[in-house]
Amino acid sequence: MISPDTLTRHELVGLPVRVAAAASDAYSSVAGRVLRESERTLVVRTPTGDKRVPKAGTTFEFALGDSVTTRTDEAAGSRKEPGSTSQLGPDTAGVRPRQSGPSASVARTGAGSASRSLGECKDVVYVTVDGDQLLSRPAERTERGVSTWR
Amino acid sequence: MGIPEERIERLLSLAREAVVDGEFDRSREYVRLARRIAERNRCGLPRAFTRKTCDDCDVYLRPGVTGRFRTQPGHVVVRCLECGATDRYPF
Repeated sequence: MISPDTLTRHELVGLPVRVAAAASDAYSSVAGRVLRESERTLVVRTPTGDKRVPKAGTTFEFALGDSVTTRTDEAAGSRKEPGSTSQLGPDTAGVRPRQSGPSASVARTGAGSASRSLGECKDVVYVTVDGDQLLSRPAERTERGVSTWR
Repeated sequence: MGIPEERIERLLSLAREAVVDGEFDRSREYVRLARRIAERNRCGLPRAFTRKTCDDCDVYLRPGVTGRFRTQPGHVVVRCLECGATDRYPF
């Protein structure tokens, strides 16, 4: 699961982000969801369009929690859960209606447990990250130190 | 489950959202990134990932939108509606 500790090595695409501090005033008010990532920039989808923000010299504030990534985290969570048989039933029942059509209400009531409905109002953690820590190729940011290829 | 596997799972659902939103090229970006993560970290791809993505053009295969899923005796035929590539797997 994505946590403040693992955020810099985890997937940033899809996370809600806000620019807390930037070298240029042009980026200071950017807030939205991360759309794509390159080695030195993040593209953020904002209500006024897609903005490309450089990582260097920028401080980002990411929001981690269930409420902000409902559509994203449901599929990932439901696939991880089938470890106990008691949870298997409601999970498959929740997955099926989503395949016929993306209706958020059905998915939330079907697969959604009490913890998820709680998480929508609480459990949102805001993590402030220096953009210089993210300066890496998106696919290789997960690796730490020496890679298995060497 | 390590971070690479979690990233791949997240990217698959993000690719699905991109297709739902009609942005096929964005879903291709996510699928390609996930494939790259899998090969860099030697963790392989989940079966759901290989089934739901096009081998040729990397788009997420959503039945009726970007993919056509038909059953034949003993196997499933998946045709990508974007590039026309065909994939078959047994059932």
